[in-house]
Amino acid sequence: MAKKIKQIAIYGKGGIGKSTTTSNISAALSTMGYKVMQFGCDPKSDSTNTLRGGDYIPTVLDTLREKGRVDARDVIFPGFNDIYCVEAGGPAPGVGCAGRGIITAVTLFRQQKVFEELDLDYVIYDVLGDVVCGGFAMPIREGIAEHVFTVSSADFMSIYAANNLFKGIEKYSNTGGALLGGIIANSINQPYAQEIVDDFAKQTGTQVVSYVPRSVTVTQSELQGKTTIEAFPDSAQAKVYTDLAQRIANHTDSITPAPLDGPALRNWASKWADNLLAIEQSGTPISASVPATPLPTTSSIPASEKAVAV
Amino acid sequence: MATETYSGIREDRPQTFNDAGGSSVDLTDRFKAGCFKAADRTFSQGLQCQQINSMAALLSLEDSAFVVHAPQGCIGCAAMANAGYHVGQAHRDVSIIRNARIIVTNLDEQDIILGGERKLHEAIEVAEEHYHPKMIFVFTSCASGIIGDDIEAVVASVQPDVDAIVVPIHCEGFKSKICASGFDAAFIAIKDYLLPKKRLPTEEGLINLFAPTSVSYKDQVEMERMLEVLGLHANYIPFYSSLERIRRIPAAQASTAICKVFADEFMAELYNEYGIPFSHTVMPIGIRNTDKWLRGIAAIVGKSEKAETYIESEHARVLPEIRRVRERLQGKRVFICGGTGRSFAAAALIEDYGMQLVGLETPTYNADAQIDIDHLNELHGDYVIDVANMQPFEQVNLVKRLKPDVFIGVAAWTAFLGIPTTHVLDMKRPTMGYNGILYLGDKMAERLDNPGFNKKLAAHKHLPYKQSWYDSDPFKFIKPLEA
Repeated sequence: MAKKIKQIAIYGKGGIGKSTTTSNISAALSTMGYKVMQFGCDPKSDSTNTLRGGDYIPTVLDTLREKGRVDARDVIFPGFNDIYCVEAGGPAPGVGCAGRGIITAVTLFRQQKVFEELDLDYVIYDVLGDVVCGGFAMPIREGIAEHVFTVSSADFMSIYAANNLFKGIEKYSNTGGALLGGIIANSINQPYAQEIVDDFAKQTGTQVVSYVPRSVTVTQSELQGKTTIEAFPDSAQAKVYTDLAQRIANHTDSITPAPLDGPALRNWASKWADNLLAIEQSGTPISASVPATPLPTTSSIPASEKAVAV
Repeated sequence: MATETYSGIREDRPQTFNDAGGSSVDLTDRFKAGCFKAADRTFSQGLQCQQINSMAALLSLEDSAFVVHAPQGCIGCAAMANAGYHVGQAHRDVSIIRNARIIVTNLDEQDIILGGERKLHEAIEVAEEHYHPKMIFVFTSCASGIIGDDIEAVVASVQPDVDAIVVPIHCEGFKSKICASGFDAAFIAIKDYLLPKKRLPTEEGLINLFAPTSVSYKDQVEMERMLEVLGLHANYIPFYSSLERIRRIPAAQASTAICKVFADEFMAELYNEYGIPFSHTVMPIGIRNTDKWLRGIAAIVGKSEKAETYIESEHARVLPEIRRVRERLQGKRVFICGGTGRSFAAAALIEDYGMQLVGLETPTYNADAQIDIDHLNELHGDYVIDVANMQPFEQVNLVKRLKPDVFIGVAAWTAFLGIPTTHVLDMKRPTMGYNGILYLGDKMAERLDNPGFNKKLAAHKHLPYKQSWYDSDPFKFIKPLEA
């Protein structure tokens, strides 16, 4: 019997570190011996750059434009540790329909049964996270990804994007779409930042899978065109990513999140604005409150308290 | 205060309703009390889209080519308009009847993702090369609208390379459910791209005569004949017109329209921009409406006296004939279905023949319609109004229920119910002016005397609805919208 391919979609607001996180997860899974494909679903087409020494690869849609028909095998490129790298690509900024492009690219791969043929263990979709239209929701529709993770910082706009994603997941959950694995909290160096993301997770009945601190090691790696797993495999940051990958590998049960509606989200944000002001006025400079001990990288929510499908 | 630019979407007009049904008296009371609730149909049959109406409005312009920026299926809708164009050419004695010159950009999957602007550019060049037209109209579609192709930018970039004037028309089908929005889109584009920017020296006696697609050549001739009696001559727009004639629009002494709905926004624009006065009355079907229509335009150009003399002479000629037909039609019960202007106008026609209105189907209910409804309420008391754009399922339910003696209007469905039917909008036969009413009256009388055709149809062909539907409230699917 054919093995089940684990398909995961990782969403997050643009610039939040989604591709960095995804590429490090892919790299970590590959070093664990899994066969992995990373599928970039962003018209910027730079999801897989750090798996390929900083190179851009021809995208599915570039090839479609040039040849009229695409053989999926022609648009798969090897990356670090034989990770299969694919970029859906998209139209030039300001023209056409990027969402339709993602639908076309993903459909093409499914139709040509490429995942089965390559005997993959993991397909990881790296998707632009605001789920602005149906096309960007394609990977979470029925029969594509099974689990969704969202990369978010404590920044409000990033949380807003995550909340939008939750709305998308909730919608498709009735028709067999992907469910939420959890939040990957990124750039978490302040206790208050962790608290904000934790609180958002609590409000929406979800969990935080991992806290990834901001790290200069990541910047150094990316300047070399590499993931941290490849460039600094023994670093503390690589350990964070490896733990995260392991957690995703072990993850089995996802849930339907309970997104906040517009006014609730605004109230929640304004409550945090007051909190932050109070912290600042209490005389403790926020920037000085970096904890002496490293932040935990595991979820603070005990398994027994994990949210259930709503 | 600056007035808002008209969006071209009829739904944007205040107090406009497209989904309603009930007794004419009750609807009138509700409308006047300001209690008319916006509603929608939870089940609806197919409607025309804006694109088809924009295309239909312009297809017969003799020196034009048309580029439809759409997937290829979207021009399927042009078939009916093109067929009408064939008939119109035949009636106008065109010796070599041709198709409208339409090119579709055939937007495919790739174009939707990557943008279709390049293809549009090419298609405009092809239209120029093949047809050397004076005007190239570019029609947008749902697909091009959703992906946001910049049609104006393409037009601006291709214009220096082609001799034809390229005119983009924003008729994305999803924008409106009201046919007239499609006409408005065409007129907005004509104004922006084809009309001289300044008022031309007035040509004494020149009248802009706007007419919708569905007006037959016979009716055009009748309207022009009536205007000629007043010493006026018509610039008939936009059917079978040309760039030269369109450019004369700002030279007219006044404007009027054969249809009450068609071009009403455009005529107002022409008044605001060029100071051209206009007459907005009724569709000239039936004696009362024909009189009213003619008096309307005559008053604007100072020919009222001449009009009265003419109306008197026409009455003397036509009324005895009408009385003759009236003997055969008196008391017959009628159901009417037509466009907004036509359904009301035709309802007044039955006044001439002493018939009784039992049901009326019209696409839009608004303050303008209320004027006509008030008149009909006075004449016929209470009757049923279905505010619907076609919706044959409601129509056949109502017709079966009301059992009229004759059905006037688009008879494609009720013809199968065994009821004599006659047209008011088939683009071919006369219906308007003092001559048209006689033709219509004779035709109705003939049909009533010889109902065999419809009876045979009903015996051999059944409509697809179950008895349970005929037993249901015809308006059960019309639901008020949440405020």
